Amino acid sequence: MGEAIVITSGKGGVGKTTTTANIGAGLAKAGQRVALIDADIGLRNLDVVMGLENRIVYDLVDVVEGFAKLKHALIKDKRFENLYLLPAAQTRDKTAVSPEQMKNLVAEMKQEFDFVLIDCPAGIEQGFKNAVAGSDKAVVVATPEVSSVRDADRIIGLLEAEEKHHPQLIVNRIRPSMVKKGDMMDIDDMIEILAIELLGVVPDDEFIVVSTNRGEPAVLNTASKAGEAYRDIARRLTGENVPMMKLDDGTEGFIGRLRKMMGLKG
Amino acid sequence: MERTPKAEEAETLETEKPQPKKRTSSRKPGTKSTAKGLSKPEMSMPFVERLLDRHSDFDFEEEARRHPTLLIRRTLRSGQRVRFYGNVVVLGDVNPGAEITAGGDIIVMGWLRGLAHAGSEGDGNAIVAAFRLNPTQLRIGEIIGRAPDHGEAVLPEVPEVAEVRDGRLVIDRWQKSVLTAQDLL
Repeated sequence: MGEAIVITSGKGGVGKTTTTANIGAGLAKAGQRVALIDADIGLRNLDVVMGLENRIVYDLVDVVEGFAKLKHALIKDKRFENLYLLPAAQTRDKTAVSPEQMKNLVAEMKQEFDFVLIDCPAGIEQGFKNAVAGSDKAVVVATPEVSSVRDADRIIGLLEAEEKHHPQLIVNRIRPSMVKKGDMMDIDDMIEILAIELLGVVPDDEFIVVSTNRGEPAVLNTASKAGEAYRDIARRLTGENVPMMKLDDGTEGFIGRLRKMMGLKG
Repeated sequence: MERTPKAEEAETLETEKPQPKKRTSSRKPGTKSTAKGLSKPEMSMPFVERLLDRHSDFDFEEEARRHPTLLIRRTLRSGQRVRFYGNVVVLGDVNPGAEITAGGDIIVMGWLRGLAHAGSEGDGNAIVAAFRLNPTQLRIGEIIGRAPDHGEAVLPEVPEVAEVRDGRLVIDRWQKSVLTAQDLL
């Protein structure tokens, strides 16, 4: 019986889909059986980021409506035997699926896979409720911007209302040099407001743009800093105690404190 | 809501509607301790009786009935709103985007970063107190104060109380406020 993790943020464009693709690939690389669900019905992206767009035959709505069997809709990844994607429908909208249906679907998938990662759409409406419905655990992605932190806070409140307690935080697109100069929100400030456990910090990395356009998760590139951060996050999800990556010499102060927080958890 | 480094002096909020309010009620401080008596009067009786010995002229039971208090044992996050006709006490933070509206006083045992409206029925004697008072907007009765626009504001380092003095919203240290100005229990 696997674990279903929803990746959410409230705000759009903070990197939910990239995070889902990379953590999924990272887990698969570590030998886990992984399924990704694109819950962003009507605005599907995850298939493009994974480079699997041309293989879609059936989608999530087809499965939920009983039009196709789950095993026929699941797309096997190009690079990993044990990584699958359930794509979203592009021609429908969020109301095509109900939270109850998603719950059943995710429960069925958890039988087959070690990890089921659900890529949540932006917003707090039906799409969010669907994505969250079947999950056991939530990961909130936020960038170091006031608006993103505000939306993350709202999402954490809504997750609590949905009885999904103790979400974890991924801080995405941090620039250590800007934090050092005081031009960017630092991670301590974010954690102080959100008051949730930190799962990982992903540095801003131009390679993400390249990898997204090529459909190759950054996790597979050993030279990419962001890829390394995602590999660490994937290992933490499997229960390993991985120390936080050192981003910059100048930022040792707060990274040191972060490490302490993770130590508490482990 | 500018804070001077010397917290000795009272600070003044930018008031947008500087209307002095008259005392609308004869609320006395220090009466919130018996609010639990509302739900379980029999359990709080010994406590109430002991207080009555020292303040024989004051009926705490009656006061608790007139000014009930809502205790929120959690952090209020963005988008979450609490409206209550009595006093509100939060054991947690009130984050930006969260709102509390109370007929009476508001006390936050944590960071108040959101919006707080005390005395929403027009009680200008209501107060807003927090361990760290850094709201986006404060309202007491009909008076509105907001945080300074430029991010130059000094973050609070001690518990503070906001109240209306002479028609202006004033933030002052806990020790200087109306809460401690009168002899309490």
